[in-house]
Amino acid sequence: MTDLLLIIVSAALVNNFVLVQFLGLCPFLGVSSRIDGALGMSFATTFVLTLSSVVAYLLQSLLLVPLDAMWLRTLAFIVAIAVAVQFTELAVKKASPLLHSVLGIYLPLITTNCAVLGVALLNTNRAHTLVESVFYGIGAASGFSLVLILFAGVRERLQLADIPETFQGPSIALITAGFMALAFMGFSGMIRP
Amino acid sequence: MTESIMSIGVGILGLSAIGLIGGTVLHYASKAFRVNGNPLVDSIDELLPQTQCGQCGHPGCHPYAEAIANGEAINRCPPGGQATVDRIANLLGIDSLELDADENIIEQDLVALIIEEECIGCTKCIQACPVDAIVGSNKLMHTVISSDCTGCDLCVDPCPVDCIEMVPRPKAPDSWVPEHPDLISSDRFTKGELPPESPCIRCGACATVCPAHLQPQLMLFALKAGALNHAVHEGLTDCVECAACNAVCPSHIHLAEWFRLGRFQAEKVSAEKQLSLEARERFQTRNARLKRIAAEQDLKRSVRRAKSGEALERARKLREAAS
Repeated sequence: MTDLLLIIVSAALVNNFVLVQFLGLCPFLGVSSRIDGALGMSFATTFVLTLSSVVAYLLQSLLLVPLDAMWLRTLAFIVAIAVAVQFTELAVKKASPLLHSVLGIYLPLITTNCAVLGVALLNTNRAHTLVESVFYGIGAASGFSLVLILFAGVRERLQLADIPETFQGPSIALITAGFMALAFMGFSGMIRP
Repeated sequence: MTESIMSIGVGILGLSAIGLIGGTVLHYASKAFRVNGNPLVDSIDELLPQTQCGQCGHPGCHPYAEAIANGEAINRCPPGGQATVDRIANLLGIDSLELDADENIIEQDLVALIIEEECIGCTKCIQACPVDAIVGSNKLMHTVISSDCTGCDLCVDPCPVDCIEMVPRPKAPDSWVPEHPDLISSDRFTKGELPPESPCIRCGACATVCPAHLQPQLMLFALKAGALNHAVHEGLTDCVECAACNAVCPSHIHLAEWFRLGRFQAEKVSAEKQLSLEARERFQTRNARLKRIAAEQDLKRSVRRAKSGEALERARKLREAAS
């Protein structure tokens, strides 16, 4: 139990995917201009990261290891995760239009993100079991969501602030992201990666 | 050598197999889970002004929203004006276009007015009105409910005696806009001249004196950034315009004037929203009613045809029997 908790804390805070491992930076900067967009993206990412952990684990233990084809895993993971997410998106659209309107366009956007592949590859590198993989995915996703929503809140404030012309737009966003990364450095070394 | 060929074979075959299986699954899933309708259409329809005027070449706002979702130009809505074009462009994430309208169209809030002495009671305008805003009956005078009229001018052409005119929307007490928004401050400065505004130094003095416990500086930033929704979220509509914030502001910012204009803007936006929602509802009810009446008439007609067909058949048989 403690191990699982440690995995979550490690993935969410200490080795935060965005600010420490620099994975998933495109949605971090792209979908953070409004909080509601960031919320939708967070839900979608949580879903996709958890799903991709499971899919990657199953693919690895059922197909790649028996065939002795571990060198195929990057390609195989991308294809399998994309198929699983696309399938779920179709099913959700049919079964629950409400959920689809929340996750909506974000599901296909996040499908082939580097954070998604990162979770799958890191899981196999660390030889996590199925349960550990799922918890690692959830931890990574909650860290991503936390940072994304915080950043969106800051950027909403920035829109109303008096920013010198030189710093307006992406530059102030990147500076803010840098400060957040500095803050997250405070966690480093608390848990071994 | 053979080993590496084996590996390459496993790689090609394995990936092809995964791709093939995945593709097949997705193909059948997209058929099994097909959903009719496009959620984007409703979002676009929300932004259109719901005048149902047909100036875009479509019968009503919803059909135009469908056409936009299928790639039609977004600049065909003169009643919505440039603001609507910009909002749709923002929703779809595309570049805004210039409004496609005649140069002589002035953006003006018009309603139809029936000159009642001249009305002959032909009901043609009632049938033309897309939002049921005209009342009246056969050979009796008609009149326009001006609060429900969307100003689409579809009733003007059908009128045989040209007794419908487009006039500016009558001023209601709640559509009044102050002509002198600096009125509050002129009470404060007996010389009549307002000192120039300096930038906000974020001292928070305005928040301390506000009797409504608002955050005037946050509302000011929102209004200056044009984020009306944000200002309303910060409590703009609770402002009592006491101008206590003006009195304490060391930068002489005309806070109360900003809030007064902002409140009028917010009220105007919500009134327009309300009008368009009601217009859409009446348009939908009207369409449903027309459809129902057409179906009833079809039914009656087919019953009548069947009866006359039977009667003809009987007459023919009698004639044959007689001969």
